[in-house]
Amino acid sequence: MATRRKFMQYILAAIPVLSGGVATLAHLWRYLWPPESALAGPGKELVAEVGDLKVGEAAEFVYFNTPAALIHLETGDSKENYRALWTKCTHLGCIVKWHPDKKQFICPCHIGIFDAEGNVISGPPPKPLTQLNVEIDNNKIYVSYEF
Amino acid sequence: MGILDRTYTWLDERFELTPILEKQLYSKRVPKHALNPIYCFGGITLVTFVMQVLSGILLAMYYKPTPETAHSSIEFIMTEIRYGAYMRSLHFWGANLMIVFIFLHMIRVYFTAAYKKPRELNWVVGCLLLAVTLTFGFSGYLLPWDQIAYWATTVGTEMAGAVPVFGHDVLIMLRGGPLVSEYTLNRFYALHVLVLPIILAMLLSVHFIMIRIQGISGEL
Repeated sequence: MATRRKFMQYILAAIPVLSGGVATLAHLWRYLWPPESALAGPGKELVAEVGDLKVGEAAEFVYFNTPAALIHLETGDSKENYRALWTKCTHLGCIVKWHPDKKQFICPCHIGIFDAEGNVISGPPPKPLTQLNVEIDNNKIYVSYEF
Repeated sequence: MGILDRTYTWLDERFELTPILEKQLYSKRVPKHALNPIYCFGGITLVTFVMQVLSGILLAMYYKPTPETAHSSIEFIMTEIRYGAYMRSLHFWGANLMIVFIFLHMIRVYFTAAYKKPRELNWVVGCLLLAVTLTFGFSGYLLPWDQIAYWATTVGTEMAGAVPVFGHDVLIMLRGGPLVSEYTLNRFYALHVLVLPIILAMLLSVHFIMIRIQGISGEL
């Protein structure tokens, strides 16, 4: 039978042991976690200029080794009128294609359908497409992404 | 008295080897039912592991774990180093055979019911050994840094990334960044040649000490 005194002794001994162990592991994790420079995306990338795309059109490009598209969604030339997304289908990785008439991305492999924001409308994709940040500076359109 | 006898006597006087050898070697007879070759699979697995260690050490003398040099250093091993192609083939086939023999060993243990009381813990340690060996295979597969290696690692780490809640963190940790990169190669290399061998050696010791203490399981 553990007495109250024994129980307290175990607890008091466990506190420094456990906290020491947790602190060590936490620091080990911090050491192994990639630094900011390794986690950063490739930074801002120039993908188009204002006026290149008519309303509804999409420009395809590769950003960070992954296919992506820039869409001129609405009339206007500010960054709110554009969308940029990675176009790798979240289902099995086929490249989704922008259909200007429907304003949807459609995956040719299993008919996964996404809207212009990347949200899943129908089909098997489990997750939305990832949006990239759009910036317009001096009529040049840049995309970027922070992990 | 020959030189060997005199050396033994010299050591025996100082370390009392005879009782240790008596107890550990001469008094342990292999039981008759265990003379069946299916009882060799565990030992053969150990032999393949020793082969992996030896050929791996020799390969590490020439292999360079950076994206620019990894593949060319393997081409160098394959084409210019004497016995280089032989050593790499040995390492490649040894890795496959090691896993084959682990499974044969597990099948033997399972169907002779050797995992039952009092050997449950040894089965658990054996499963950990299997996991470590598979991790060896996964980390070693990236090192040639060719298309198969790169994409196998991309897919494999993405599987880890599919785990709910903390999957993405595990993926970043495995890759050392958001993509399979030079960091991934270095990470996997360090795992493959430093971390995993130490873990495997420790688990193997525990595995064998438990066999020594408990003895081989009885007849069916």
